[in-house]
Amino acid sequence: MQTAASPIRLSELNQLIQVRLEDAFRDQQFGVIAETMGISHYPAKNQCYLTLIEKCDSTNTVKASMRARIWGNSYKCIQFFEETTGQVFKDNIQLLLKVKVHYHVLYGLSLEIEDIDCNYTIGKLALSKQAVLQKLLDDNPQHIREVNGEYITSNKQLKFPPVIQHIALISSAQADGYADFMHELIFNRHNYTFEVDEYFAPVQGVDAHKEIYKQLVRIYESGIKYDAVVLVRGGGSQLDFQAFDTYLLSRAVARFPIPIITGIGHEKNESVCDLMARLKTKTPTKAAATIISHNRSFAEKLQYLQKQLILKTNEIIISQELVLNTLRTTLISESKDLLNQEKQFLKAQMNTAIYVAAKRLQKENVNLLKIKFNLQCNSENRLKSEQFKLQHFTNTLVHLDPANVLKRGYALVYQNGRPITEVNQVDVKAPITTRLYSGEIESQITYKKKFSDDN
Amino acid sequence: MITNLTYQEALDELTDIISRLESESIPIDELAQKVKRASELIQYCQSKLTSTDSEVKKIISQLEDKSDL
Repeated sequence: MQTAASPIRLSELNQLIQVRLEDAFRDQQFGVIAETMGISHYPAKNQCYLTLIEKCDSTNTVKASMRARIWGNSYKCIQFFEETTGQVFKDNIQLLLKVKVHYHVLYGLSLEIEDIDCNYTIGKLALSKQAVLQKLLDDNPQHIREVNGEYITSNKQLKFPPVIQHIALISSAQADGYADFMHELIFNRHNYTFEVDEYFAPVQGVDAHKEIYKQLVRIYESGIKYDAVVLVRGGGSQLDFQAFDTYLLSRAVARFPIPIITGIGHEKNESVCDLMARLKTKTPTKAAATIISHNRSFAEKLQYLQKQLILKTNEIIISQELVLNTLRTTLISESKDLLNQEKQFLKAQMNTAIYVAAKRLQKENVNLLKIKFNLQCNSENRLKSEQFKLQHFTNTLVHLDPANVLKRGYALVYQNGRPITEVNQVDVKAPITTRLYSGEIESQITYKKKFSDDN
Repeated sequence: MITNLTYQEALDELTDIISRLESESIPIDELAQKVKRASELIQYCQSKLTSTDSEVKKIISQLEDKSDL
C-alpha cells in the first residue's frame, strides 16, 4: 500500500479521482439494468435526480446503489419513455439505461443517464412484486382474486364501522410516520376522540416484515374488536419498503379479519401490502386524515338526520294540527247542519200534522152531519111506517071482531057452554045453542054428518 | 277514560264520528252525546299535540345545544 509523501486536500484527492475516472470512463456509454428509487423531478430546470439500485434476486436486499441524474437534452427521454411504453417513470421500476459515469468534485460520483431503453419496460423489481402477487393469487384463491387488474381480497371486502374510534396502530415508535399519524389524529379540528392501542414493531430492516406480522398476530389474538388496524411508516429511506412487498406480510394483510388502513409510503410508492389492504393511503398523515373524514361523514350524516328529524317532526305536528282543525270545523258545521235539518224536518212534520188533523176533523164533521141527517130522516120514516102498521092492525082488528062477523050473518054454535068447531065434539043427545047477532036459538040435534076431507 | 287512548286511537274515533255525522247515520238522540265526545276528543288530541310539540322543541333545543359544542 502506498502512502502519499505529504497530506493533500480533499479537493485535490477528488480532482485526482476525477482525472482517473475520466481517463477510465471517458466517452464510454454503458447499458445498465437498474431499478429506480427516490425520483425527484425539476421540470423547470429540465433536471431529474434519482437513485439507481440493484437487488439480490433471492434475498431482495439491495446490493448496489448509485445516484443518477437526467438533465439537459436527455430530460426529454423521460416523456418519450412514458409516451412510448405507457409506463409512468416512477420508483421501483427496473430499466435499461444508457449511462455515462460522471464524477464531480463537490457532489461525488453519479451516473448521467442519456437515454432510457423503452423496450426494457418491465423492471425486475416490478417482476418480483408481480411474482409475489402471482404467488398470493395462486396460493390463496379463497382470499385473493384479481378482477380487471384490481386485487379483491378478504380484507378489502370488510366494511368499516360507521365510526372508526378504536384503532390498533402498527408502527415504529421512533418513526416519523408514527408521530405524524398520532398528531393528525389527536389534534383533529372536530375534537373527535380516539382510542389507539399501539403495537410497536420496526418497520425497516431485514426482519421488519416478520416483526410486523407478529404484531398482526398479537392484534388478532387479543380478541379486541378494533374498528381498524392502521399500518404506518413514513420518512426514512426510499430504499426500504421491502417489508411491505413480502409474501408473508402481504398474505396476512389480505386475510386479516379487521379492515387494515395502510400509510406506509411516500407519494411515489405502492407496496403489495397496499394492494391487499382494505384502504391504501399514501402517508401516515393521510391515513389519519382519511379516518377523520370517514368519521366526519358519519357526523354529517347524523347532522343531516337531526335536521330531517326536526323538519319531519314539525311537519307531522303541523299536518296533525291541520287535520284537527279540519275535523273541528267539520264537527261544528256538520252537527249544526244536522240539527238544522232535523229542525226543518220537524217543522215540516208539524205542518203536515196540523194539515192532516184539520182535514180529518173536517171529514169527521161532515160524517157526523150526514149521520145526523140520516138519523133524522130515518126516525121520521120509521115513525110513519109504525103508525101505518098500527092503523093496519087496528083495521084488521075491527074486521076480526065476532060481533061484526055475526052481523054479516055468521053464527056460533055452543054445546054445554063450549063453542063447537068439530062435528066429532058434538053430543047428539044434548041440546045445542046457536048464537046469532041479535039472539040465541036452542035446538035438538036430529042428524049429524061429517064431511069428507075432500070437501 | 279518554286519557287511556293513544293519539291515533283518539283521532280514529274522532274521524269515525265526523264521517258518521257527514253520512247522517247518527240518531238525533245520540247527537249531543256524540258531538260532546267529538269535542272532547279534539281537545284531547290538541293537548297531546301541544305537549308533544313543546316536548319536541325541548328535545330539539337540547340537540342543538349539544351540536353547537
